[in-house]
Amino acid sequence: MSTVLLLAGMAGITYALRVCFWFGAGEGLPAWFKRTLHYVPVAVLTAIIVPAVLLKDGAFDLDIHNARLAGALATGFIVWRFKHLLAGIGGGLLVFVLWRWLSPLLMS
Amino acid sequence: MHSHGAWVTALKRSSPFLLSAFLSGIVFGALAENAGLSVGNSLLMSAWVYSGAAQFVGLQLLITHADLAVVLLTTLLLSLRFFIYSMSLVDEVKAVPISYRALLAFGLIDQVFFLAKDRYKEPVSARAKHVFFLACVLIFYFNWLAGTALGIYVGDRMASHVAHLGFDFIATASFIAMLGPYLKQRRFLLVSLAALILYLPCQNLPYNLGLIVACLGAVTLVKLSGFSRERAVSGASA
Repeated sequence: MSTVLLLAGMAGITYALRVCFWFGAGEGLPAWFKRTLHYVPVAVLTAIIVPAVLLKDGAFDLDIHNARLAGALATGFIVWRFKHLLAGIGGGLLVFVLWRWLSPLLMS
Repeated sequence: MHSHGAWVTALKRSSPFLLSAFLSGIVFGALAENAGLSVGNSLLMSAWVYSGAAQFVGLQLLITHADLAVVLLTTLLLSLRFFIYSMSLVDEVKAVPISYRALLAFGLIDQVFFLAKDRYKEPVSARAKHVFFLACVLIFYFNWLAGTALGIYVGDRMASHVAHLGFDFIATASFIAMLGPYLKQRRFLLVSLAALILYLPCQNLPYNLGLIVACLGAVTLVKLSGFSRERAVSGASA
C-alpha cells in the first residue's frame, strides 16, 4: 500500500512539472523569451549525447577504441547524407557492435 | 489533412525511436521484477510516473527504502527537463482545449517533445499538428507499457542481453539522428557547441542537473550574443 502511495507521489510530481506551464502560467512570458525556447531541443539533445558518446570517467574519450564514437559518427553521416533516420540508427548500431568487437583484435 | 493522415505521419516519424524506447521499457521491467517489486506495482510505476530517468532512479530508492522526501525530491530534480519542455511548447498548445492539453502534458517525454516541436514548425493545419502530437503521446505511452510488461515477463536474462549486445547504443543513435538535421543551421550549431562546452564542467552534478545547467546556459549564451548582434545592426543602420 505504501508503495502505491509513493508511486502516486512520484507521478504527481512528474505530471505537475509537465502540465503547470500549460495552465495559465505561460501567458505572461515575453515574446523574446518564447523565441529563445526554440533552442531548447538542440541544447538538451547535445547534453544527452555528449556523455553517451564523448566522455568516459569524466574525461574526453577520443580513443581509437571508442566504439560509441565510431557508431555515433556513422549515424551522423548516414542521416546527413541520406536523410534516413532508421538507416542511420541501424547503420550506427552495426558500426558500434563491429567496432567494439574488432578494434581490440585489429588495433591492440 | 485529415486526422487519419496525422496518425500515419506520427507512426512513420516515431518508428525510428520506438525500438529504443521499447528496449528501455524491457530493461526497466526486468530490473523491477528482479528488485522484487510486484508485477502490479511495476506496471503502475510505468503507467503513472512514465519517465525513464525517474523510474530507474526511483526503483533504486524504493529498494533501499529511502525516505519519502528523498524519493520525491529526486523525482522533482530528475523531471526538471519536462518543465523546460512544457515551457518550450506553451505557444504551440495555447489553442488546444484544456482537457486535451492535460492529456498531452501527461505524455511529454523526450522523443515526443522533439517530434512535436519539429512538427509545429511545418506548414500544415493547426488541427493536424495537435492530432499528430496526441498520436505520438499515445504511441509512445503504450510502447513503454508494452516494453515494461515484456521486461517483467522475461526477467533479467533479457535485460543483460540488451546491454551485452549493445542495444543501449540504439537510444544514443536515435538522439543523434534527431539532432543531426538541426546542425545545418548556424545558430543551432552554436547552441549545440555551447551546450557541449558547458556540459563538461557540470557533468558530475547529481540528478542529471548537468543537463539542465548546460541546456539553460547554452540557450542563454546564444540568446545574449544574438541580442548584441541585433543591437550592433540597428546601431549601424541608425
